[in-house]
Amino acid sequence: MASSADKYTAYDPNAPLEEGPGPVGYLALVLAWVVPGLGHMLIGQKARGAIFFVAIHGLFAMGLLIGGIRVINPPDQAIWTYTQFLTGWPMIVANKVEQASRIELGDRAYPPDSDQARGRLGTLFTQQAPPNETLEQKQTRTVQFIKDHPAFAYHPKIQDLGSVYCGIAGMLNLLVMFDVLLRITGSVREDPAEIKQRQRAQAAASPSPAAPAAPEAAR
Amino acid sequence: MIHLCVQLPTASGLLAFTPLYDPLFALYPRMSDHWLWLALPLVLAICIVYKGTRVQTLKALPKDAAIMCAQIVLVMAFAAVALASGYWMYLKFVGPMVS
Repeated sequence: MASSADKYTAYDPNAPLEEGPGPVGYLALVLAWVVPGLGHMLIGQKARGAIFFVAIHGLFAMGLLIGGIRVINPPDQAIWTYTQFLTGWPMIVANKVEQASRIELGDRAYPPDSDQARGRLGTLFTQQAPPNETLEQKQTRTVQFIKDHPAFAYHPKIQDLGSVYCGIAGMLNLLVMFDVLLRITGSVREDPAEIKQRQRAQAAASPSPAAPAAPEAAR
Repeated sequence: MIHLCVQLPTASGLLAFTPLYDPLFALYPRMSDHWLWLALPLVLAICIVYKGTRVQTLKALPKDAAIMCAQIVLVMAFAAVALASGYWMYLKFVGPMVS
């Protein structure tokens, strides 16, 4: 199954470069970003595309599972947001959900004392505070509040890991997009070991008379 | 110190938990003790995708990905040991001299 799936069914890698990738190739490149793995499927590499699909979607979902929706658009780590957007549709959907969740969770991009910064949960937490609350009382109330509203919990280390998961998923999709680009342009990579083997065979087949490379060929 | 026991979530916690929206540490507050293990699935996914773009035939993918995964984990472990040793030596020898 794997060997047949590896063959170029929709694309001829030996096609002249002047012809270019064609509309299917460009479509595959765009779809490779929108849906990770779909670009490979479109150019006939179904098994390879399925592996990329599962791996990248799984990695992104695992990041969300670990850190929750807050791993999207981390306020202090904008660079991860750019990489997360390379994942395509999962990030587009998650970004919309995250924007909606800001009303509930709060957003540190707003001034600290504003209602937006506190969000609904933050406002609720503040409103529930009894007058003259001691530190111990606040700690107990916080633990109970997090039990009732798990999204209110915050742990930077784990949240960072979730952001990294989603960001790496995007960077891997960029790698997959480059692979689609290489394949649709016919720039198939060659195994370096095979290249060396072929060079040795050529050197052995046509030894030069004054060849200093004779020992090399003999070897 | 890595604790191998996990605090089980309560029934009310499970009901309040929304997967992919709420953070997992809301269910497992001691998850931060195990955060290092979360690097392993990440490394595995990186190896599978990277090797998936490199191998000529997919038959070679499991072996190549496993080798690369082992290499990364070993190098990270070696780097961790080296850094921890350096830090230990700093605390043991350099720190007292500076202070």
